[in-house]
Amino acid sequence: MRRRKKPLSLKLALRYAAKRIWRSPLPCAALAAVSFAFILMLQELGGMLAQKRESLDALYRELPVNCTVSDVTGTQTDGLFCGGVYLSACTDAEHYPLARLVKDVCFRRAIRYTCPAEEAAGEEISEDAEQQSKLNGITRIAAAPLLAAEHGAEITWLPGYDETVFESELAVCLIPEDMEQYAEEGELNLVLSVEEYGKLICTLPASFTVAGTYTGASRLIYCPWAAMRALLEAEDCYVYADSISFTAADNYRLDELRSAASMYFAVGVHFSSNADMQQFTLTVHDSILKASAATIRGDIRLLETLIPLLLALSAGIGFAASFLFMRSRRAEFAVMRSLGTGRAQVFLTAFAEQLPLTLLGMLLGFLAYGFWRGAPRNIGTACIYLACHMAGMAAATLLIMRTNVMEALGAKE
Amino acid sequence: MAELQLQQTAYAYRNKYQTVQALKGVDYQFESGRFYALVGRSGSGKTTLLSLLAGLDFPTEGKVLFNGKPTNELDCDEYRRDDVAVIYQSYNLFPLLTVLENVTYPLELKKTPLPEAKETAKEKLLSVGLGEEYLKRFPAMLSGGEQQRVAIARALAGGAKIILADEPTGNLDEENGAVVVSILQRLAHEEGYCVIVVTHDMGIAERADEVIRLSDGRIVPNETAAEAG
Repeated sequence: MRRRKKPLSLKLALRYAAKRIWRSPLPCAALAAVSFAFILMLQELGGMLAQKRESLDALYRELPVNCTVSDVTGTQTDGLFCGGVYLSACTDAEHYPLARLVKDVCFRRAIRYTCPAEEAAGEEISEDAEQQSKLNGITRIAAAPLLAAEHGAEITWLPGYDETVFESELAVCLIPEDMEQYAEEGELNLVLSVEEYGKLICTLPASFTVAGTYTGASRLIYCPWAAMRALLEAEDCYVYADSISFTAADNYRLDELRSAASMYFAVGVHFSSNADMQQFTLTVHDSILKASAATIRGDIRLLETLIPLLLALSAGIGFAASFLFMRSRRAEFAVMRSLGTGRAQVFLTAFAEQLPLTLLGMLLGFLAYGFWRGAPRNIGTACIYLACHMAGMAAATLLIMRTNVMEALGAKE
Repeated sequence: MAELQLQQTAYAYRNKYQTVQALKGVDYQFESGRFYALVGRSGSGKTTLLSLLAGLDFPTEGKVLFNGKPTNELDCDEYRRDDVAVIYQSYNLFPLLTVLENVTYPLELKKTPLPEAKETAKEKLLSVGLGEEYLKRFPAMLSGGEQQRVAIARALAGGAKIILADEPTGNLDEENGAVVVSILQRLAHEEGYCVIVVTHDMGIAERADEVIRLSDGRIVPNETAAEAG
């Protein structure tokens, strides 16, 4: 058979399709409803997936993962005598990778003090009270558990001061209410007994401006870590911390943090790679993060599996919907063929009916989702759906068109 | 010159169990201006022959010639658009198109401008006795006879000069059947169409110029309507 290129008439196809859609709305509505439902489902799944990813991201961004330094057994977190490179590793971002991966570093060092003004007032100080009379140099208020709200301590700051003073080098202090009486013109004078390994090294006079008071029966005085360090360095005393803790700066880089920390600390079950530095252990408290993230990741994996499955299913559903939609019209297509309509034109006519209905269903699905949940997303997924659905429809249409014309028209011998 | 010619035309197909020889070496010539009746028992090959004449299928042996050219060398879609039209027992109108739209369809297929197509369609409908009042009706609103007349008008609208009718009166009562046959006869005798009607109705065969009897895939020697009676 001689084949000549037959120009297709899109106008004829669209006109025919428009008449059919207008005059037979119910089956057309059913076909559109398939796309409507699919788009709603895909949008909802896509929305859930995005939400889960945002939750995971928020979890990693917002959940603080604390890291504490302890002795090598991992049990003692105070009285560590941890100084030198251990302190630098946590604070010197220029020279130590670990410092770049941490934030809210908490150092605390306690030095016993006596208060000359208190002694001059003739106050009797018991042995216990003497033992508890300690000046705590801290880098931030979080390093002082006693000052935490859950312990009931109420802090009253004097004008011009707040908890950020501990991040400064100012010679200021936060004292128990009861000790305010011993401050002379806002200045509290103390004598510090500097010890190392329980042995008295020296005594230092120190003077601090009172920045605030706190409630509670306590003998602890708090000053900025930097101020205490300056005092000790001035007397050539070894600067060390009794306790060290910090928060991971980026929870996505915890492995990197562990790796950087392992230069100086034993991390988890792995001892420091530096054999000389195995005195202290760093514990990264990420169990809550891991557990929560694992749950969310499981949900994400499930959704990431469901969406492609749904898209694949849309090809099958497109095929089935189209097949049902077209099946009763085999005779109609056969009549078209017998009147001289080319196969391509018949196909175009069938598609010109189904494509607008599919697009209409999708548009309504987007609108419904927008009304219900807000701005639709996952336009890309919707495009893939359209492609899969159309592929199914094309296959069904071609299959229906393969019918022998005379058979379809019910011609009998 | 013969419009349609069968030259040793044979057709075989394979079903689940065997190869069926529906037509076995048929020779015949169909001419313009004549009304042919194709008769025979069920399974004699009438519908197969009709589908070969309409270019809906091709012979497995021999040839079907239209104006001297084998149909398997023609653009069959064009052949069915311009040269041959088929009318069916069950009318096969487009149910969701009006009477006018059904008849304009073949013209729209040939890219005739719509106003011109509508005028031509109205003429053809009038020629089969359907006036203005029928134009906006849907097939379901018409009687069987009216639907078949619309089908004839649609067949004529495309400009085909060969009309193939497969049991056109099979679903009609006697009166309407007679009207349809009259129209087909008039087309053949007064307007020069080549009309070939497949029928079981011997009344139609009696009104034909030539009766072609098919039996077991072969044409029984040619006889006039009187001899067939």
